[in-house]
Amino acid sequence: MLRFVSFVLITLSILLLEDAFCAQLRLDFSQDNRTYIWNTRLDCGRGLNQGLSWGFSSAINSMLIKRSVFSHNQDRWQEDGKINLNLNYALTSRLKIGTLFSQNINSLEKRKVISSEYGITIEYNISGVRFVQTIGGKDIDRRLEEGKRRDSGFNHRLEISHSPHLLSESVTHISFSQSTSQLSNIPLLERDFSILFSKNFSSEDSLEFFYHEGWSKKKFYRGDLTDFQINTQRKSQRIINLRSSIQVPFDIRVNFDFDFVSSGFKYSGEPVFHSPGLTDNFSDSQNFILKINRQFFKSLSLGSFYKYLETEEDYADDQKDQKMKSGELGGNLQIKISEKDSLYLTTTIGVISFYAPVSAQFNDRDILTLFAWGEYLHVFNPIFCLRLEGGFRNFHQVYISNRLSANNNHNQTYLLSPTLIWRPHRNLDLKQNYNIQANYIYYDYEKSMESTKNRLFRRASSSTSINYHIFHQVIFTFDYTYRYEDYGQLIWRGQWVQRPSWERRTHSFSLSMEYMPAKSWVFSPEYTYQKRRSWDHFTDLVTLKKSRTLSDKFYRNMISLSCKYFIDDRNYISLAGAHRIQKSTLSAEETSDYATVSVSRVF
Amino acid sequence: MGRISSDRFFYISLFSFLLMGYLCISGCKNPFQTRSSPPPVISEGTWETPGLPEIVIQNLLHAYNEKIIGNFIQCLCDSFRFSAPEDSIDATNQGRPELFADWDRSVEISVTTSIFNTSRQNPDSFGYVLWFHSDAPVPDEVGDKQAVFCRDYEFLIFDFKVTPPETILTKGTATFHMKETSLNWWSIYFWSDLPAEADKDDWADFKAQFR
Repeated sequence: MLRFVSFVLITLSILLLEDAFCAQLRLDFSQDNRTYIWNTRLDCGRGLNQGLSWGFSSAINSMLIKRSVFSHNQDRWQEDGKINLNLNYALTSRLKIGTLFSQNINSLEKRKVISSEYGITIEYNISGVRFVQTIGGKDIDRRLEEGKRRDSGFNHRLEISHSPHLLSESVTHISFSQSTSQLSNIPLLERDFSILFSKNFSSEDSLEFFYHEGWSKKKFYRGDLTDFQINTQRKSQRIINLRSSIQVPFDIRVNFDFDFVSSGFKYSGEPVFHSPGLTDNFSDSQNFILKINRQFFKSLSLGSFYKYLETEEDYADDQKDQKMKSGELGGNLQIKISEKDSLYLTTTIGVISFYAPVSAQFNDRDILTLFAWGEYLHVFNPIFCLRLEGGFRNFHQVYISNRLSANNNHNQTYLLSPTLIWRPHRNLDLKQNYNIQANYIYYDYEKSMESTKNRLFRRASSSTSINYHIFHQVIFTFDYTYRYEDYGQLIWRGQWVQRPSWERRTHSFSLSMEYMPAKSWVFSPEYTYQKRRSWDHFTDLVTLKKSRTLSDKFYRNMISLSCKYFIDDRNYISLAGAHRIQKSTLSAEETSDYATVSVSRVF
Repeated sequence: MGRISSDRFFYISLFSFLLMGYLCISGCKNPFQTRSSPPPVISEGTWETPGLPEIVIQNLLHAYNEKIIGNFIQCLCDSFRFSAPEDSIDATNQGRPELFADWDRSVEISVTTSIFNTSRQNPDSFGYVLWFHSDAPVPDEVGDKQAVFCRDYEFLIFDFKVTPPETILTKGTATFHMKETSLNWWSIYFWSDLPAEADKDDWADFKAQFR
């Protein structure tokens, strides 16, 4: 059904969109082995004559998972889509009437939910206060293998909003809305109220405040279609956001943000056999962030921040209750040392603490996080430069209870990555990157022992990239990467030493071309080859002689081709496909195919 | 009173920054000091450096069965999302479309913490065992920075608190989309779950009971 609708939509879009006021069409198809996905989206609207306008939008997504020939299951179709249509007529500058129709479809094989809404809308303005009323009906049609169920009833929505001009350079917006769906079995009532105030005191100083209060009461089904219970959910929510920015003496910029979210869910109704009871739950979350920045002589920028976050989850069944507190302090520095040298440094330290109720106190834990990152750029001359990146991260996980404190560990990662970029000719770009990484994991209560849990993972890689523009229309790219990895036990003998367990060496290279025969056409074929060998390490316990044996050989060949016709970022057609074969001594040869098609058009 | 020179501004501001930083980190009590813990009474869980995407899947499996939330969290990316397309239809059908909506990292952690806590607090009456089939339903797709792994799983739930006591076996296919970042190694940024048979319970249904 949806595939038929999407076909009609595409045809209509081609026939009717010529005169449309604005429209956007987007079609995507992708195939990844046995999964096929179609996405279709069309939005359009038009002003027909004075005061009369229409709008139409649709989005249809289909997914087919074809089952393996070795499986007894069948193909699985899943589709969801929505269509919105509205027609409006402005009787006067203050009064507008209209009609609307919307339909949502969710289907999976024989299971289908279709919900439809229709009604008339009246929009009018009185002294700057905007009223929008929608009166109509709502239908929800549910179909399952064991039967079907239909809910229908009266639908009403009222929105009142006002944007008074209280102060100069400020925006104030107050809104209230109430939605009622008087469905036969599952009525819904929702109320929302919000206030937004923002003011720019100067080009540097600003303040924004947002307050939202929401409340809803809804009934919903639980259990099977034929043997169901109706439960009630009462939801309340409160949101407060504050954003401020101010310039204080000494040209220091201070930003302060605060967020508070509180929500609660209460359930009532008959319990359902073979289904867990829904428990009331409440959660509060508040966080603030204070940022300070200062620019010195246009060449040095210093900044620091402090973040604090606190959350609390409270369930009627206190086994799930949890509190979390987190504090993080950080700073960054950006400096242009000279015309040829620049440096960026950033660092943070933070602790997250989790607190559980007495019955679950074994899960209390702290996590200490340390992070540091630096980047240095040196430009030797306009065609040759060096970029040096390095970083460090440490997680220290501490469980407070002795039931889990065996997991207390340090997890440290170090990284150093220099890159040379050279442009010996205007048509030739060369890039050479080296990367060294190490991950140390050691357990607090096993540091002094020869524990197999203390481990070191190391990785080093070298990447070479060559870009050659033969003509304006043709670019050749060659990439080669060699990667070495090893893994093994970490032993403390005054300093950490590694006892290797395995090592792996990977060679990857790819050759690609970008060919532009005309201004709007691009063809990009690519070939990728990867070879990986893995060895296991052994130590003879008698002779202490070390040896290694080849444990796995892996090969991968992939060829891909993409073709794109484009006018700009929003108007294009692209086709891409790939064929991949890979084989390992540990598994049989695998062949995979991928394809994608995308069309985007803005009228 | 003469104007303060820009050099002096520089030194005053720099001094202010350093003073503020010093005050923040050198109070009477170190705000970044972790709590102390007693020596363990039982052995620790299993976790390896996720230097390969398949190790993330192993870490997740071990964390789930060993019920160690700290190890589980390290399998998830900051931009993590969870999707259960078939179960979402059932939730929509029952009038609760929000049950699987906006399922991000914080929801996943909250839900999993509840599952682990409930199981650890009631080891004699509630538990589960998760295992992945060794044969993947589709070949693993591993790129330089991204990978997609599909795993058929079986999830056996024991619930002796209900009357009559239940043992439920759920089967399905979990698809894990992973990416590699320089300091985080490999982690899951998208996880989708499908039941083995349409209209049957799966892992996502179990998780949703704790949301």
